[in-house]
Amino acid sequence: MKYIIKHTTTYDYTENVSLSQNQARLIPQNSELQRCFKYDIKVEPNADYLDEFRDYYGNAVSVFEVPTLHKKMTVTATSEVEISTRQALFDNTPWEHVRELLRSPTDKNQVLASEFCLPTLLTTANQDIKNYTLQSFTPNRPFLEAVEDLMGRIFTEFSFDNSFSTINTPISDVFTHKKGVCQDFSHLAIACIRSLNLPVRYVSGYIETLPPPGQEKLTGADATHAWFSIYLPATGWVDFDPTNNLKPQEQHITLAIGRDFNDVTPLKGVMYGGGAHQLHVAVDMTPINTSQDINKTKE
Amino acid sequence: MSEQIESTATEIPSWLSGYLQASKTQGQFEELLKHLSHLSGEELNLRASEITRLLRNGGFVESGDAVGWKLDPLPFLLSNEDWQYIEAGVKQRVKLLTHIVKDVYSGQKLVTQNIINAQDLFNHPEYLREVHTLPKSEVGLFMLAIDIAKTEQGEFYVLNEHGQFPRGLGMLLESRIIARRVMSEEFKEYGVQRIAVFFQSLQRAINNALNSSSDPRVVILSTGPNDKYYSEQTFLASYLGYTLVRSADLTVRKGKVWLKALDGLRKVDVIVRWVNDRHLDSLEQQEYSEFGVPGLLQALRKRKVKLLNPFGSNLLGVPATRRHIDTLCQSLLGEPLTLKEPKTFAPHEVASENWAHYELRAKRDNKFKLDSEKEFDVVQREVTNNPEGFYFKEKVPVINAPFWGNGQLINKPVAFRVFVLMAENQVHLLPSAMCFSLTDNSHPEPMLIKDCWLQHQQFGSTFDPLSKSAKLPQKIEDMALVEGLVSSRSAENLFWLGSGLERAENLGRLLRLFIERYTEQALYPDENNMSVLTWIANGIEAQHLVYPYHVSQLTQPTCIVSFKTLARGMLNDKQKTGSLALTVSYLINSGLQVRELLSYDSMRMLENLKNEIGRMAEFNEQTSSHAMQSSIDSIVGNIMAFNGSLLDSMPVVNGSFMLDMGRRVERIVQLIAMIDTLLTTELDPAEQLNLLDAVLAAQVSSITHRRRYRTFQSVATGLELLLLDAEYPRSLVYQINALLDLTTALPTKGRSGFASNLEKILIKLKADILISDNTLLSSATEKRRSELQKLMREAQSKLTQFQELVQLQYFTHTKTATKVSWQIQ
Repeated sequence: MKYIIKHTTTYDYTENVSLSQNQARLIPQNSELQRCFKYDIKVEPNADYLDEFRDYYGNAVSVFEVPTLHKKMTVTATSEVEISTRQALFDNTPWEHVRELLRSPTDKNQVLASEFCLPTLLTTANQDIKNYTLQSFTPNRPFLEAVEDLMGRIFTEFSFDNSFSTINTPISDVFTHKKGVCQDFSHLAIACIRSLNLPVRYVSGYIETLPPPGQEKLTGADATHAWFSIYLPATGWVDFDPTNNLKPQEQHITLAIGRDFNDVTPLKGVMYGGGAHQLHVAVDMTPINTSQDINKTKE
Repeated sequence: MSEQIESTATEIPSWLSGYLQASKTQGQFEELLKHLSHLSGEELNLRASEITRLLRNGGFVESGDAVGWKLDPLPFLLSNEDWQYIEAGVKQRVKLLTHIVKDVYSGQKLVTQNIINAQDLFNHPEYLREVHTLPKSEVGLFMLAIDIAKTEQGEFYVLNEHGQFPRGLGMLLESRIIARRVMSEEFKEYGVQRIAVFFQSLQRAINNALNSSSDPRVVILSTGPNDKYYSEQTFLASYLGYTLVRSADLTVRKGKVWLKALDGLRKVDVIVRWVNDRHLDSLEQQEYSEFGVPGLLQALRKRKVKLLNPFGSNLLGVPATRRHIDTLCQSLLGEPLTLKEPKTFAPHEVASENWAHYELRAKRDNKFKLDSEKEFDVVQREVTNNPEGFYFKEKVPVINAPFWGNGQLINKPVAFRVFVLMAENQVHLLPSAMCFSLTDNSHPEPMLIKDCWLQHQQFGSTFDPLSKSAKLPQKIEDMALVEGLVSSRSAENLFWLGSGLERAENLGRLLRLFIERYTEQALYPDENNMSVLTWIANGIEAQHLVYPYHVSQLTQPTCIVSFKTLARGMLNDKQKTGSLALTVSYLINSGLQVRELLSYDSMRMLENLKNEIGRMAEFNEQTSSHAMQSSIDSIVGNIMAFNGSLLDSMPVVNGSFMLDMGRRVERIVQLIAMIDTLLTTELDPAEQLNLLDAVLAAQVSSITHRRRYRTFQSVATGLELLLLDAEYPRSLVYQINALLDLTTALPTKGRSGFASNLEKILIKLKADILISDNTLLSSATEKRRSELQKLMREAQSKLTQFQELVQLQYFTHTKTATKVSWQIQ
């Protein structure tokens, strides 16, 4: 499956900004299952410095500086990405075994994975969350199967509500109220899995949404999305989308990976002036060769 | 040895013999005792108080700083044997530490070999992921401070390592300068090794850090005066001759780092940081900090700036990196570890009956330390709740050293901080150490430190250590004579310092005059004098004559109940805008912001001022007018002395012109306000002359006026002198001319040969004054000198314009930044 993606972020400030320095993670990843052929980052007003580097997790980061006085900044990222389907998975490694293995990692991949076993500020579980997790992680159950079970429970027991949470809502609140958005469900699942000292990482990306039958797709209707990915020593990283209760196939495009949202913030900046600001985001994913039989998904 | 000393016990002073009897470990202090037994107890006391005096002045006043550390008059004599052992151990250790840092930030073989535990490493806040994105050349160690303890068995242990920045280096330098002054005879006689060579190596290493640039611009990045270590940062900045900057002074543009200087942006090549590397780049790093420079990491990545210590050098703060350092030493160097590391254990490995031998440390917080013996219950609770978060560290029985206090010697456990520089493929050790008392966390007391003396190895009868070419500055005063770039922020502070000095001085004179007059009035009541007093009192009370110099008409002065209460309030009421106490506090604060530019003597004057306003705070109804006068005298005297010390030590390139500018502007403002308030209303001739005399006295001009206009004195002559005489240093025109000269020192973007906007304002003002006629100015209709008033108001508005323009053109880059992050909607 091939897509052309256009992601536009607009900041409207109440006061003039004299200088802003920014870092963006808006270039899709290259990985085993995903190829990014082309990309382009455009900044309005013009950036007078634009550079790129790879961060610790291998994400491409664009660095730019806007030195002209402005009240509005628009960043447009376009890319062309091809994504392929993973073969059906069979991995019966019990979760306890994964945990033991990563306590003393012996190769580079394991070292990297062991880092993702550790809770972060946004993914620290309390005892209730840990107990909730243990209901899925029964002794000697395969890691893969336990995570599938956990994802299914989060999907059925939690409701999607985009009025409930902000980036600052702690996962303990999400857990208590059983409400949230994709980011909350992903952080919660990650907190669950890390409460058992198991490797899991946060994924930010895009998801293609399809219009109801017979209607035309609206511009900007696709969305940025978040899900998580676990590490199976024998297989590698496997993605899970708790918002839609599925293992991503061809509608999920990976932008960046990290320990939690703070590692993958799509755009962040430091500015002089500006006052309050408003943010507007629009995403369009255009399939280059269309495919039909995809269920509607939530963002 | 003890026998020998005991046998001569009658010849040695009682402070020493008393100590020897009480202490069983004097063996290692044989050298010290041999060299110091000629000193009497009184002499030691004298030296101790001399140290206190010198330190108080040099280290100066931040709150709490005065008790932060204390230098002991007795040095610690390091034996050459011990030193050689330490030196070899440190060199070995530096090899290991360098290997660890390079490995962890590239390759991580030590992790896959399980010499460093992966999760303990990744979980620690000092493991900085951003380091992996930097070029290899920017990763490593540069300067290190290592705390080493000696046990009674003669073994050496590493207690702590400071990889962030060499904490205490400035302190050591300052202590050495003082110790050498206080103990000059003994210093020479013992043949103490010099430390200046180390600082020269440091300077060379910093200057050579960038290969491409032969004369790099170097700044020392500090968090500012609230930092515990600010004194030593200013000290090192002046000593090494680098500009001391803070976050707001630096900016990143187009991937390079720039200093916001008065004349615009100047590229920075090397940053010597005294800021924690977790807080260096608030754009890229997650922990937001006001102390960082947004974009700095990108500049490092592109090698556009050199950072020292390198980013990530505090990896040594992660305990997991050294857990198996002895194994690493064996496998990497094939030799045993020289400087031992106290053993560490997981909580379950130590039975609670053995806890007394250990302290509990937190894996993630290096400052956390609990004595398992004294705080058994807390330790038990922590270990039970979170066994993964802590570890036990073996206590080391360290040696004691005698400290001088209350006329006797007291033993305290000590450690030695050794300073190391890694440059040009060499390891340089500073040939001394900071010997410091190990204080208990639970009873915070000032850290006691000793200068460590290391005897010169070629020391003999013919060798004179003082004749070496490498020299420390002879006096601390010399250090402020360093020229460098002035940041906009420093310039602004100098401006306000100048303005504060002038304001305090003028206010002091005004209040002194006021007190003189009202005490005279009490003794010899006089109607004329009473009228003058009432005018002045009203002018003070309504803040026409004092900051903020309100402009409005003062026509009919009202009766003031108590002149003395008014005067006292103006002296010490910190709630009152414009009071002397507040004015002096502001000027001290401005001074502290630029203390790296001030000399030792200037700082001493600031401290005297601070003490004086402390005394004034005690004033109450019982305080005599005489006491108030003497406080004012002291303040004015210290300000004059401060001004004098600046003249001597601050070159124009360091921004003294900015200070002068602040001073001139304030003098004009104040002069205009006084003339506007007191001389624009026409009074009866006798009353008028009396008030004129008061104005002249407050302007330090009464003698000149009397001499010059012996036969006839009037408001017209007074105005001629105070406003129009371009050759009279207290006149308005003179100040304007001086300001005009000073504006030429300011960098400008205008075309040469044309007046700048700043100059234009002053030229207009000058013309207005020069074309005025003193007869016209002094003539009144209906008791009002409206021409004079018009001129004064016009001058005031021009000056406001001038100040605003200076502010806008030169001080505006000090704005702060905000951080914005994208959020999921």
